[in-house]
Amino acid sequence: MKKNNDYASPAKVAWYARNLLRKLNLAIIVLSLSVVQVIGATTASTSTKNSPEQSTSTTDQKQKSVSGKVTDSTGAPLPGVTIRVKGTTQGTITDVNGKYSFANIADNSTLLFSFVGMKSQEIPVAGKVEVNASLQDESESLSEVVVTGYGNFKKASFTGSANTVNAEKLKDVPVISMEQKLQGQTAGVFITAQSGQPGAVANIRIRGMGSYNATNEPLYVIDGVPVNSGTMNGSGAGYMTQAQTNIMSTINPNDIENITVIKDAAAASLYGSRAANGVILITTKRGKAGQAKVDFTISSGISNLAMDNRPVLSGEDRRTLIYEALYNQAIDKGNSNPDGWAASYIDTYAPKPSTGYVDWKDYLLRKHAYSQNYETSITGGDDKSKFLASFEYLKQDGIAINSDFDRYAGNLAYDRQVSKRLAFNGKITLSKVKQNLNEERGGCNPYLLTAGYITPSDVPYAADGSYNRSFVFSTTMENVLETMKTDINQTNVTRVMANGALTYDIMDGLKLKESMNYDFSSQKDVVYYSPYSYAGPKGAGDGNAQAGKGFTEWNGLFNSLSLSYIKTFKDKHNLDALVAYEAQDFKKDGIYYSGYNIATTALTDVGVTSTYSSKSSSPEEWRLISIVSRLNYDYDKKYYLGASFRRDGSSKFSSSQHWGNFWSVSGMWRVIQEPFMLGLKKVFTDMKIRASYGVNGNLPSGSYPWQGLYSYTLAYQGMSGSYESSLQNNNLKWEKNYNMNVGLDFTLFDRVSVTGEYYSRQTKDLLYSMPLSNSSGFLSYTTNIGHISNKGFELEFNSTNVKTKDFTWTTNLSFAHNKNVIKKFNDQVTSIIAANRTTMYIRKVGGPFYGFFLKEYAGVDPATGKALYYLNTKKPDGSLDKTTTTDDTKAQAIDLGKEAMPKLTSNLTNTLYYKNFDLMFTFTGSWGGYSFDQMAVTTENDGTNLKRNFPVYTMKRWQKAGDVTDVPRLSYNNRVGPPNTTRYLHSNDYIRLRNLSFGYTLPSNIVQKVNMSKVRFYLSGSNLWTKAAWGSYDPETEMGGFSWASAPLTKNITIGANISF
Amino acid sequence: MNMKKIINYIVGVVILAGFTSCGSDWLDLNPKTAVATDVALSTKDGLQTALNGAYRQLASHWFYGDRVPMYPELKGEDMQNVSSSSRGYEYYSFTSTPSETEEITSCWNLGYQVIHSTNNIIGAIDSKFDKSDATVAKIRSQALAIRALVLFQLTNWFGQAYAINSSAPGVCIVTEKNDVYYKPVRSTVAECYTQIISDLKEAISGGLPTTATGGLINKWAAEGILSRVYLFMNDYTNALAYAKDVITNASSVYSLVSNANYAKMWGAKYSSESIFEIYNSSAENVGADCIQTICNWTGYAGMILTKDYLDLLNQDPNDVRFCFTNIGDANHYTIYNGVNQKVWLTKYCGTGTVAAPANVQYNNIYVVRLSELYLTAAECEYRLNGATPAALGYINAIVSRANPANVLTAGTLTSVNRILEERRRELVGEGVGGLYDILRTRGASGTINHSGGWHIGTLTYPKPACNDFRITAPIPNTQIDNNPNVKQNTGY
Repeated sequence: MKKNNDYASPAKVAWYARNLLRKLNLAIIVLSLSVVQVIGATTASTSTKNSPEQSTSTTDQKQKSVSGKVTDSTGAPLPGVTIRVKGTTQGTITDVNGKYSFANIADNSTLLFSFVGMKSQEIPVAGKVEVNASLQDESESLSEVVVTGYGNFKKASFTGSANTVNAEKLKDVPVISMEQKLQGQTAGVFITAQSGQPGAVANIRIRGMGSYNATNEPLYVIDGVPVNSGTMNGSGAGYMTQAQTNIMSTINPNDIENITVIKDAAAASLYGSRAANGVILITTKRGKAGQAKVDFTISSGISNLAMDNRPVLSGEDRRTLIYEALYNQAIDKGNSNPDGWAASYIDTYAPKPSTGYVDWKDYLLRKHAYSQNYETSITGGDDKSKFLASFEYLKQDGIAINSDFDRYAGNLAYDRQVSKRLAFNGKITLSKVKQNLNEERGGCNPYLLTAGYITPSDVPYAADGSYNRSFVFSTTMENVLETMKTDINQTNVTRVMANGALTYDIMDGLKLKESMNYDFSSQKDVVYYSPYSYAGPKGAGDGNAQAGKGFTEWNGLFNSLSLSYIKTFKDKHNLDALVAYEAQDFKKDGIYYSGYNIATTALTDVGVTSTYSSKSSSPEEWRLISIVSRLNYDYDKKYYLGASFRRDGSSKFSSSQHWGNFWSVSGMWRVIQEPFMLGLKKVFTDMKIRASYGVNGNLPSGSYPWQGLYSYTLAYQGMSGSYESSLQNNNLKWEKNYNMNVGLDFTLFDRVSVTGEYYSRQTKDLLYSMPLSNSSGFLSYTTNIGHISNKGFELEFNSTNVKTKDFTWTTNLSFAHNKNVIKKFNDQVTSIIAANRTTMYIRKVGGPFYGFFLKEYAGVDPATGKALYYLNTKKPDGSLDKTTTTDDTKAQAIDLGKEAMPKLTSNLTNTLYYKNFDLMFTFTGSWGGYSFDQMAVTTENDGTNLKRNFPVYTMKRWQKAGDVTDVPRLSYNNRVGPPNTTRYLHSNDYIRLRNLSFGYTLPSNIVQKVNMSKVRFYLSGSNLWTKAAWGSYDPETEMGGFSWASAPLTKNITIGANISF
Repeated sequence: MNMKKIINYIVGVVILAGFTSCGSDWLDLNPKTAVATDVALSTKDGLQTALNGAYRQLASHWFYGDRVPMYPELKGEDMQNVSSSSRGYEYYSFTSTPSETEEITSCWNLGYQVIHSTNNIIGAIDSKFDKSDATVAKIRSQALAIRALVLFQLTNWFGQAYAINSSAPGVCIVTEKNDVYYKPVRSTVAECYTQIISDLKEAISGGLPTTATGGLINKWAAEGILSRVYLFMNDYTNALAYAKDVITNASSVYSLVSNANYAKMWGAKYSSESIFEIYNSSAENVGADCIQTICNWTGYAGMILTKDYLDLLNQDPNDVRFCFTNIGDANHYTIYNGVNQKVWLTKYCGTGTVAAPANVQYNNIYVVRLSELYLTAAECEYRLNGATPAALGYINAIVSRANPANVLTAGTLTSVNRILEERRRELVGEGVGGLYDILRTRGASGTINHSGGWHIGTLTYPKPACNDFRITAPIPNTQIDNNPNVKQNTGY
């Protein structure tokens, strides 16, 4: 069988390198020209900054010129350092050589040197004309900042549980959406993609499953604004695929400065109303003061499947096994000439095509999917104005021949200190995404077909070169290759996010801030099924094409007014208080129209369909009002106390239940500050104990869940028809999540920091689709009932292993464990067998959310080759009868005590810098989870279906008495086995090299000769290596451990260059 | 305070004022495509709209859309599946299980959705409207008739046949909107029939129109259904009375289609003998998955006429009813003894003709035809009084229409079986007879004879006794899970 992973072939690499160089050349020329202009422009603007306001205050002081140079601890010049004259608004910034100068300042003034990531310094001028400074790196563990929407905290003083991931560290990782960057970076965060198609929706679980029928996804907050997450499931294109369109894929991940994952109540309850499943805070980049800096990144990559996906038999091997199944059938039927029987049928099921056997992966999947990414940004400004502009283009092909994704994203941020007391911050982001999706339902899903539905005996083209319409695997005439080439499933999203904020310093420490945000997306879905499409008219023939088009508009308005007060009293009492009023309005509306019958195959637009098929309109709106308050107090940086209270009103509940209250309390004791720790300070450089407890909420999905409604989607004889579509529940209210967190942090020798956390999340008043007696005309209605518990721990080590002038090596290692238990459904139900595609799960009190409920496969009887199952009937003493049987109908499905969610997950990241080289790599691992292989239910058919292909491991089938194997004897006479057995349940344990990046920065003396400040080349990859317990399909399955035919994960290799001017 | 400060404060106050105006009222939002239940049913127009909705629900995929006609036909002797992957094979092979979604659960659920819709209408009228108002009375009567029709279907599927065991469990009788947690038990088959009869009688006397209403239930449709209900109870007197009432008193409204026009009746909307049919069109249909496409070789091609049925029809090669049998196309021939058999039923021929069906899913679904009432009247009259002129009149209306050369006389009509055969010939594929006729006429000691003929591959030929547990559909598991008061049928 031909392998797909030959992308390392020398010819390919050479082609690839040439291609990249060509692009680089072009880009550098274009950029050089534009940069010259930009630099010219900014120099001009900085030279005019002597506004009258600045030069008035110092007239009675003695004036003099001061200049100097700022260096880092190694003596290298530091460009971009901000230097302010203390007590004035005067300031400047060091140039590329680290030099600065002030024309006229008072000779008794003090200069304040500050730079991100370094300790600030104050140096009095004291009459000198030259003031040089050497800035020291801030100790990493202490400088780490936790960014929350309602204020940033140094991690050292943060009482809650959160991790901030600095995007800079992950900038090379080739991903479309930010969630993928988060993978492997934080403990206790479980991320899976719904599909491996580019732009697919990702599912995130922070500390387990806390909800039953409401969402389990965290709340996403971008620059302080809660935004929609998940799928842009507008209409049309989305429904045929598991992948759908991820809203987050509209955001350029490289525009993100950092991502904070909030896991406990203390920080989350500020977002209380929807923070029950944790919060993901995204802070985007803003302008930095200093000389205009232009960054340019170009990268290009190739991807392939991360693992060989469900390998199947070659044509010859398949023919051998089919022959065997026919031969065995004849034996089973008592036929005296089994060879004659098999020989007479073999060409019906496994003919040898005259053109040779076909590997359909060659036709339906790309050998290599290419990607390219161009990105440029400029940032600069002075102490009053800062700006940032960036633009990105990304294109990534999926592995299926009809799957791809591209994005244009532009970003403009402007910050201005309008006056001494008033500041303005503004930002606008525009992005355009286009996504072509391959089908993931059935018929023309390439991953389904190549996993065994289509056979190597089926050929794509007939002898005359036209599409073949006669197949072994199917009685219908649709050709999947043709379908994939002609059908259209496309989603286009245009998104604009704009926000502006004004901050007014009322008095020292007291600030009033008004911020307003608008988030607008317009989505267009286009669908076309050709007359011979599998997905559409099923070979209805010429003219019977189907087409559809839908538009969906999403409008989000968010308004926030806050008053904050930060003050230190008597040097030791530090107070930080905030009150805010927020209002949010979300509107969505869409229309979809589809029709069929198109006269010519040259046209695909719904406008040329002659017959109406369906229409839909989907307006909805919800609102939220919040009153937020927070109070943080610490005494002498030693004892910390925090409290928050929030009251939210949601339009999703009846007027009697609009409002919910959410709160938290937290505390921390920085033990290291105590006098008794003095003796240990050589060992422990930091130590603190944290605890928090609080309540967060969760809202039901849907905009009008409490209302009893009549819908008007029916019609009879051309007249409007209505029916009751939902039952009223005036008492529907917020789902509440009671979250307790205790943590211990300590740092040893200023080198190794350790964080241990234990948490308990109790979700009560679950939003639950209470099953009703079907005779009521309704199957369920939404109410608050039940209780789910998640408990677990997280352990994280950060170590600076080596730190010298030339060589730095840091390691981050984390572990997380979560136990998910359903505590209560309601008074009537204690367990539910959940019919999720097959009856796979049991949900019972005391069990987990994704617990498997299956018949137990007992392997193969070595004597007969028949499949065996454990009876598992209950014996009188209550134990299970473990006798084996060949009659699967007698075997009982049982609660196996196995669940989809892993028991332990771990991440390991190493970062190394040696001179001009840098290397970073992350491994992730997962243990104790299981997944169910829905595909194998049909492909491992023991010979009952000879019109398919078998998985490669079918070669291990039982052949003769005494064979010990778990693949039964093949026979066309076999009966189809039960779908719900542990035969298809596999361990999901794996270790994966999640990402790796290796970079080389050109020496600065060379770079500066060509007027650049930095040039770096890098090679990076994701999912490069995987070791999985069961290797037939990717262990990172859909949420719930379900594996079928969605596009598998890809491995990607990218080479690129970062150039700064 | 300088000017700037003042302006700043003013701006601040304006912003604050803007926010405080967003009070709790701001959180009261209503959808744009739906209205609150009590509002929806607060006007006569609203009631009419809800009634339209109930009709459309009745037409749904899992009810009249396909399952209502499929169930008795596939479990009877006149139609069969094409292969084991055909739709409805679980019915045909008597292998239904309580966990089936489409064949069992959806039918049950849909039935109760329609009942719920009608209960809402009746409840709103009884509490808020003047029942003597003609418009209101008309709506209420139709709702009652729909409720009865649905309960009749559910009882016939999930309960034993009335004629075999009327004290066996039927289904849940729900006649009003209850508390959400209401968990009713199953009533007996007899109790269900009592409710059905009571609803229909109330509808008939309650102000149904007596003119032809096509896709809506009028007085004659309700009487036709009631006649069928009594027939299923082997209550020949009442069955005859209601059939006769329609034949006699609606003669100015309905008449049998003539031999010449017989083929054109199929596919046409509201022929002269159509009393009630469910409306479908290009804009209103249940989609590709429906009885019309399941019966058609260009569609799902899952159901064909049995050899048994064609043998029966073949007794008279000039029978007009051959018009709705068809050999299909080259990919869907059934060849027997070297002859292409006319196994495809084209009563649902859509915008085409019985010879060349087209857009079959736009075909209306036949619920009550005058032919059925003639056949019922003939059977009841014969059973009660023998081959009287009246009995001969009723049966000859059908027999002579099928072939004017044929006329039955007191000498040739010597057994009720002759009438029952005629019933099979005429009503095949409409979900009126099939299994139901077999059960009521053969009784507990009879058997169902799936005689095969066209079977291919591994299809088996179940021949269960009329009192076999598999004759009755299992109660869906989800219903029992959600309401343990509902007990499963024995055997499952």
